[in-house]
Amino acid sequence: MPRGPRSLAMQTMAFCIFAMAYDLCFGYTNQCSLGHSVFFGVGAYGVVLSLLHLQSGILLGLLIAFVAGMVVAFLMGSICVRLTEAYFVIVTALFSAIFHLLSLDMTWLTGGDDGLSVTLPDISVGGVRLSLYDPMTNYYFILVFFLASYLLMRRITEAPLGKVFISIRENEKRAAFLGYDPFRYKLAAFVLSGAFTALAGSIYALTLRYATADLFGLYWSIIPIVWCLIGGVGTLVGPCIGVALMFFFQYYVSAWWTHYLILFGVLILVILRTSRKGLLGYLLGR
Amino acid sequence: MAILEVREITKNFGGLTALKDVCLSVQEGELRGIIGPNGAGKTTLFNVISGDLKPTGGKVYLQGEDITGLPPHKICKKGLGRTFQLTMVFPELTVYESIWVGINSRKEKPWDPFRSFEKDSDVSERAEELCRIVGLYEKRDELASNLSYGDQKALEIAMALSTDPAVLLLDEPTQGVSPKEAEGLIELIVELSKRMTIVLIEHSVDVVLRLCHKVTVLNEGRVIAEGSPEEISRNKEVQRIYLGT
Amino acid sequence: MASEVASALLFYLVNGLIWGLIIALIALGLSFIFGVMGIVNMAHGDLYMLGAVFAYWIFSALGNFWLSLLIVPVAIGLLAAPTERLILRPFEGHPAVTMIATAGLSFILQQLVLMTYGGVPKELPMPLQGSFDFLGVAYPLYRLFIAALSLVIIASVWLFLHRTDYGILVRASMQDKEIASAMGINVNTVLVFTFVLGCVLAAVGGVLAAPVTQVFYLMGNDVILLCFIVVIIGGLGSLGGTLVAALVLGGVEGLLAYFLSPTGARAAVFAFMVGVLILRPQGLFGTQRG
Repeated sequence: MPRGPRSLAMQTMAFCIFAMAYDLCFGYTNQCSLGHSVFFGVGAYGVVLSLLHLQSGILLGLLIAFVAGMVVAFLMGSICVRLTEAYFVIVTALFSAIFHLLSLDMTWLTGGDDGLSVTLPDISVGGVRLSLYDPMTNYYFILVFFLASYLLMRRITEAPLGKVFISIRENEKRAAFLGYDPFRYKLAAFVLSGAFTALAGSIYALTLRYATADLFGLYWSIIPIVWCLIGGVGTLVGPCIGVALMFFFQYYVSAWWTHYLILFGVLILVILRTSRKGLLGYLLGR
Repeated sequence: MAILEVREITKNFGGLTALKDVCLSVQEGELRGIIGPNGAGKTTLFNVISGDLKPTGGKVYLQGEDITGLPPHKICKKGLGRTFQLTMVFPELTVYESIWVGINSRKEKPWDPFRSFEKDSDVSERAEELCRIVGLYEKRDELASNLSYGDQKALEIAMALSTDPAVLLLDEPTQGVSPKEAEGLIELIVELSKRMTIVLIEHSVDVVLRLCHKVTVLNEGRVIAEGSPEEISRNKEVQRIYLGT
Repeated sequence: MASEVASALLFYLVNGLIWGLIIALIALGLSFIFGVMGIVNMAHGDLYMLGAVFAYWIFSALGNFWLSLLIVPVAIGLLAAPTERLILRPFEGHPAVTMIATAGLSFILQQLVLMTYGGVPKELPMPLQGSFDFLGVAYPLYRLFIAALSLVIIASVWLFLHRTDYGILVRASMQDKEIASAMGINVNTVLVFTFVLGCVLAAVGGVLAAPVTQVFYLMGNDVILLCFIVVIIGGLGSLGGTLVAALVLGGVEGLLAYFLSPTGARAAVFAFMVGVLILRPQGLFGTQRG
């Protein structure tokens, strides 16, 4: 596979993990978070800072990023999940804004919007040395994580837990009267979503070999919503379709026109006006 | 010892007193009816008992345990099931899935990601059984939002049963359904009353007098009469309220 | 020595309070728009920015700052009214959707300003020179003017809502649109009017702030952050709560800026908000039907 498209494919896979993770929160439990850029950025910086300061190696770095995402999501969720809809959206957005502000300010830690670059060490697995500077190795490495994430999230949604999430989404009061504590389950979905989003951020940082404070920006909180709405909310696969459809927009338009955000804004308004469930929902006839 | 005991429950909403010193004592195995004109506080009483509302004063005991002010999911776990006057279903879940969800909550680890939804046999068997009991077996794969209103009422009862309650609160289970469907639901309630304690709010006084062992009458938030169906139908105060309405 | 510190603190405090008044103006608009139509306006900071940018353009073209106070409300009104009617109307009542939609509008507005006004921060000269001495601190007259005008506007809005017929209609719509409609109130015009009023309040805040801060296409981002914190602490939909919270937070942030960096002061205010939410998820004066 030639170079350019392969690199784009890897970034797309990172975005798919992000989109699916967001779907757990937005699609499966109806929590419209505008704070997911926090987890994305935490994941990216988690792996980069681990590599730079802890010399942790890539696999441990990814694990640290995942756990960091989980912890941050737990803390953030404990405050936000119990809030009513309007407050929830605002406060999650505020978390995103504060993290963005702090990360731009604390350049000694984050490199500000210039960011931090990192060289990737080789990975030692079972006596085999892998270098992510080898394009094919890099590609398969990301693919493994993408498939693993997909299978794990699929398992969660198809297991009883997933059905409980859906029941809370469909009628939270009824679910409570059947014995489920809505707060606990919504928090669980939020934490899982945050953890996998952090994983997506760390994979993305690995493909770029760098992390920047811009990853905490509002754009990264809004884009997963767009992916889910275009592709189909609550389906896991749908948001991946959304990523694929937006792919053109993110790579070509943003490279060609500096003011592409205008089109992005227009696109948001159009998507919100049209299908609520997204393309996949429309195709499934729901 | 009463299985459900309500002691001097008072509920105020700002300046409005919805319930005042309401007392109720339901024995195990009883089929108790609650009647009263619109706005008497019947549904508010259910809301307080089931945890939807916190009372301003008074206490509620279930199987001897103080459940006053606990959240609904905890009260459900202690053995209380309830239906709602306006059906509260899961629109995008099928009949089978909706019932399954309730049974699942009684499991030790309802969130277990490694248990399979289809293959857990005791849960699936019980879910099918409940579908049969309420007469929805043929429609078990229908989405709840596609059901007729009468079928949704039956699903409501099935969901309330799915958590294996000791006491079942039914809020106007036959309201808004056709007479034929109502008869079916009433037969179901009679069957169920042989196996569990039921407290029934009904708008139709005839149904309550026909079925219930004991009847409590509420008016303007207060209990104004309580007794056997014969006693209630002879009660002058009750007659005045209903004829006056 | 101590009196120098005291003077400096007083200066920061008063600065913060005056900034708090501007924030109060903007946050009132935000709270208003949410209270009547359930719109969480993510673009509210950009309306503040537009006010400042328009003030700059008007000054550049006409050499007069004060005219902005007359022209900007009209210009913003002409932009806001069709936006509400044609773009935002279907989303009203769904807070999450409106927040995403207005985020989209925010991107559009910021880029349009970037394309026309440019990305370089520019400054406006002070329209009022001179200062007023008080307790050893020399206070710029223009800032005192900002405070006075903000108070006048806030008081006018209060009087309007509580003492005029139309104001009572607006408050009725805030409580319950269906009942208001049944009472013959033309809810449509109330919606457009409220949205325009809310936007104009933000824009006027921008006009007033333009001479004391840098006019920059991203200046709204900072303001919206503080406004949302104010509105959350004060309680969404509670106008009195918003006002109190804006003044308190403005003053506190002003004082903190003496000891910490501006970012640090902002983070501290944010942490305070988190503390409030843990204790009272609906804000201090909020009336959420939770």
